[in-house]
Amino acid sequence: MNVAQTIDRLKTDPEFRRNLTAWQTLPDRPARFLDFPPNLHPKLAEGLRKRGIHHLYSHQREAVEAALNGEDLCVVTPTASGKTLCYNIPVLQRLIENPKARALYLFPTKALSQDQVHELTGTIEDMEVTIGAYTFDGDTPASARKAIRNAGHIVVTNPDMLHTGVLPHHTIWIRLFEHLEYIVIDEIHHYRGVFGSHLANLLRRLRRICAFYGSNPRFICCSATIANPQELTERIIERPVRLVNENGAPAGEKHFLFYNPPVVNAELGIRRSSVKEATRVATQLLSRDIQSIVFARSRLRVEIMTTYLKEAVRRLGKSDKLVAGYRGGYLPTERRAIEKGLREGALMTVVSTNALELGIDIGSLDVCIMCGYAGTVASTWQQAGRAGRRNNVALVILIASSAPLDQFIIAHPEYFFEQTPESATVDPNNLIIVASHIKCAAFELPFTEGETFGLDATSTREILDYLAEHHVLRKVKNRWHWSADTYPAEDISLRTAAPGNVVILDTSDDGRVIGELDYFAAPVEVYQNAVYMHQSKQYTIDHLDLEDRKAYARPVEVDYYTDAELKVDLKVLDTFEQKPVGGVEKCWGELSVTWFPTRFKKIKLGTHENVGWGEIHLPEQTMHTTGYWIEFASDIAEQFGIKQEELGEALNALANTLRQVAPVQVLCDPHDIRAQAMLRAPVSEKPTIFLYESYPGGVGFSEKLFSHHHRMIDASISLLTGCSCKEGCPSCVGPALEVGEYGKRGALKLAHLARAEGVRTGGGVKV
Amino acid sequence: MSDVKKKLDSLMKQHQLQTGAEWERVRAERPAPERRAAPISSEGPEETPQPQRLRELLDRLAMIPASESYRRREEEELRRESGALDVQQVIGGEIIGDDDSAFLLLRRDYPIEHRQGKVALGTALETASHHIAFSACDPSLGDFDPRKTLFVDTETIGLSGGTGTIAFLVGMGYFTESAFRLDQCFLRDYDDEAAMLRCVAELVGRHEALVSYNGKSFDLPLLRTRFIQNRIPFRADAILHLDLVHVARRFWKRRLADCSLGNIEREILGVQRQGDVPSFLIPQLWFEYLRSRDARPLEGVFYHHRMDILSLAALTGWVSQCLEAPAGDGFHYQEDRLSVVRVYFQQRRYQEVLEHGERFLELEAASPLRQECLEMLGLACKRLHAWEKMERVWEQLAAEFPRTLIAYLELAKHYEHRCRDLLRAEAVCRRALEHLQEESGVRAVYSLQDPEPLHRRLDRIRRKLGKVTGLSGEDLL
Repeated sequence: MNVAQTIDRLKTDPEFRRNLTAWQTLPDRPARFLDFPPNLHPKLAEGLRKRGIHHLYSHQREAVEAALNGEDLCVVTPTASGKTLCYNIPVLQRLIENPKARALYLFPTKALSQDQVHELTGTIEDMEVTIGAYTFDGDTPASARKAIRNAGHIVVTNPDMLHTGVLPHHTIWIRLFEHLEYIVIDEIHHYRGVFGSHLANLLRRLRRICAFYGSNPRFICCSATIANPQELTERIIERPVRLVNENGAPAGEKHFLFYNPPVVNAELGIRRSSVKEATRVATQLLSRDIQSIVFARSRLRVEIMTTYLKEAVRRLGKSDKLVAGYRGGYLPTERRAIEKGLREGALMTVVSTNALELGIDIGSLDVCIMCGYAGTVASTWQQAGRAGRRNNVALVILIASSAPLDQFIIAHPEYFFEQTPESATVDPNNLIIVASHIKCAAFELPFTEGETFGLDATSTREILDYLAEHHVLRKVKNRWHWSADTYPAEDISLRTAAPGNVVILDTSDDGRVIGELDYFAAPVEVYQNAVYMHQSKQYTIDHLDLEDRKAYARPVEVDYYTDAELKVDLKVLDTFEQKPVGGVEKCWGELSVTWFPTRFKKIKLGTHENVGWGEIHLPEQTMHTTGYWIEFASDIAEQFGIKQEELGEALNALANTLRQVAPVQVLCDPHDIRAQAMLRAPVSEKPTIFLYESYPGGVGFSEKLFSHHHRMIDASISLLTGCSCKEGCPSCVGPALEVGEYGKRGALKLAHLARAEGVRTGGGVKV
Repeated sequence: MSDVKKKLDSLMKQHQLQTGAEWERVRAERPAPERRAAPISSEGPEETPQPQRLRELLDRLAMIPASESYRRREEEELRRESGALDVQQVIGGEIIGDDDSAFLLLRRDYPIEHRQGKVALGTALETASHHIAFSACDPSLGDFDPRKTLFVDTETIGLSGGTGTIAFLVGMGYFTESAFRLDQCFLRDYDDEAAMLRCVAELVGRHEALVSYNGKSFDLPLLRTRFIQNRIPFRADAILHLDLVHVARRFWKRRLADCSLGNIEREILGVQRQGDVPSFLIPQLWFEYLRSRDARPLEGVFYHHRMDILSLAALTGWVSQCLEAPAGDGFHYQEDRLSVVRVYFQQRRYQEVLEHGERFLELEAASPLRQECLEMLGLACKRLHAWEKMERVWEQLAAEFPRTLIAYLELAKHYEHRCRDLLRAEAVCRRALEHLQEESGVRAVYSLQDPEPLHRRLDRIRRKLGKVTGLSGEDLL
């Protein structure tokens, strides 16, 4: 049975239709093919033909020609529209024309870099030319590094490596920098907020070095669909770019369904589990030989659903090799095999985290099932884009979980379909960030008077003078030289996450590495006695050695999985400034944020009942950062004549609202700032709303929020009063299910209090 | 629990995540911010941060806590009051260069009889190039001529590389008609660099070889980076280079674990430095000089640097002289003598391995190092097809060190393939296994030696024997 037939059957299935809240049909779009550009090198054309490529999509042709004309580009590419050709063709063409030329590719993750090199190498082999394309990252063996520096025509790396491993050593990369013609930045939408601001500064450093060696590379950037791809790209590379967004890739008709699992306990309002519903739908597709991808929101869910689906496919009398899980932490070879299986059709169902949302080539599938809302409009469309072959009907089903956000989205499909995707923001001139990079840049090449670094000459000079005053730099005549015995880049991390992984070893198999995990994720996923699932195989963790970054596992067969509970604590270390405003106190200062796993639950596979628990004995992890907070009077609930619970709802709701408006005030990404409301904050014991920065040490947002307090509150009030929802929605205070019935009203009251020139205590508060 | 906590703390540090303690320490060292009247009006946001605020934000970026820089400033003033001395007053030398860039050149001529420890500098003039090529395992040094050689060393700001690292003192020693001349080129500040590099380029251009200590991985890449940054062509890559650190490791690592130039100089040349400054202090001394302009503490740095270069010359001569003596007699310690045998062995000069190895055995009748020497001798005989001698060496090795698997294996191969004496081959294998079993309680020794090849060989020999005699291998036992 094919997809169209399946869709017809679903249409006439009243049981299924009863649970739908939306059925949107998106029309098909024909392919717009064009010939190869006339001046394309015959070897390149031949190589492409060997790979089955005889035409270009219109957007590919536009991108290729523009890039070869020396324009800087931003190509907006939906999933599976052939974006790699948009940059590989012009780059390879240039490299054939001029074997001295070089290109630098930047990807946000190592996995994507490896994918890219894999594909490039294939193309280059088919072209029968000698072009070296290599990854250069933390995994590159020392023995290979020299060869890559000298002979790598295309160097594929990530921003972190560029920051610490390439730019501070540019003199040994002289061949690259002297002849650098193209810089490719893929997944540029990934670089938003602080990370994006860092990238913009990294590129300032890169361009400075290129100028020293006399090269002036062009940029080819690719972005997923976000609201402002061109603006983002222009702010990151600081040049005007040509936007290529007329997608010429074909797409079949697409049916987008919103499915809410039926209520099974009306009294408690409990719905059937989204995991089970998604599994059921995926199983039906499997029985009809339809290829599908299932997106789950966590690694754990991926493993559980993979387990269920493997069981189901065995019950159908088929091989469980038709089903695979996919997530970060699988070994590269495993991932390659899965990607290949999907492309070649040997795999029927893949269950994935958002790892497959990025541009990894897995071909196109028939159906996409999202088990839970992806969190943002952009991600959801990106995931939905995985379904849809050229001339075939595609099906996308969003299955809501019981989370408030999911329930809101599923109940208001128009909210999703009418919303533009989120926009991405960067602030390359954030003082802390730009000054950090000026330090790095001074290490790379001395600054000369009059030189600018993103900022105007006067501001640049002020920062340089400041650093000289602190003996980090030394000014002699008209130049500032690096003058400290440390490496500046090593003190500056571009991302929040700690570098490095924890590897998981199978002790029953000679310590074979079965998987890896982010350092910070380890305490919540591979604690002692955890059940770690890998491709639905179960292992129990005997010991987690954080120091050596190893988790020792052995295979087991149990009928439960484990799920850790994480506790987050927040403490004020130091208040830098505190000031009464209206009926509240606004503050900013240093915070310590501590998180630690407390215990884990054992949850039975199949029924999801709780069958036990255990404690986790791991040290807490602490981050020191800066925050901005609003303290309310201890008797605020009495003043308002509300219950403590209602005050809690109101605080939560206002915290959510402030978090919505804060990124606009300080030009950051929503992920850069977190919010937490407390009925009784430690020490002060007052009801408090904290906004704090995700980066260790902070990058100055908190102080800005503090000084923009009024704007923040005004923006919150207008958001609350302007939002047409009754009791809260994700656009203002958060879904009512999360913040309670009083949340929105209470938030507005609190906001007015934080603004009004009222008296702090003793009533008389104007609302 | 507390143990794990400690581990995690160290990990956090490793990743430069700030722990509470560090954070507080840095904060504590920072002078208390002046309590200022809140500069922000409560009405309306302010767009431009006030200078004070900008400074405070920036405070977090500085590598050195503010208090530290205050301290330095005070010291600076103290020095000025106490009458700081200019570098030329303290060190002497002359300023070389033009208006744009000029550096301090300190030139000293040493008579060739000048002794660095127990070695006269002139010894280097008698260096035989084939000994140099041999000691460096680098045949291209066969053209080494001490009269056309530059002995080079640099003092840097303390980082192990990267574009922001500079050499503020570059020293080059070379022989003139009558003396050993040592030029020390010193940066009085960053802008002296271009002039100095031109001088270095000029001197390098007049020579055919370099001698350094760890220069291949440190000084030369560093200089290359400096030349590139100053856009001056760099020729030093193209000329011969003798890096003595590798030579020192080859000959003395076995005896002296520490092969730093300081230690080699002390142990091998017998140099006693007077008033030296330790290497790790040097970058700081230069930074402080930049700030205070008081050159007095630099005297020690110049001395340290001169001594390094004099030692390079002396060491070059000494190595050649030691190798010149017959059969390694130039080396007094058995460890060093064995190292010489090893270097010959590595370079496949088996005739010399025999010569030096036999001499070693003669002199060291009861040394545990005989085992390694005998092994090398045995293998050298094998390569030289000196079968009879080889047999004797292996037998001797087996007799002296019954647990050395290689002796039996080689003997077994020899009997089996060359002598075609399967019974003797089989006997040797059995003898070896007996020794192995005897010692099977002692794990440490055998864990390094895999008896598997011996078993396989024995099996094969027995199968062959079976074919030859018509009996099964087991029957022979």
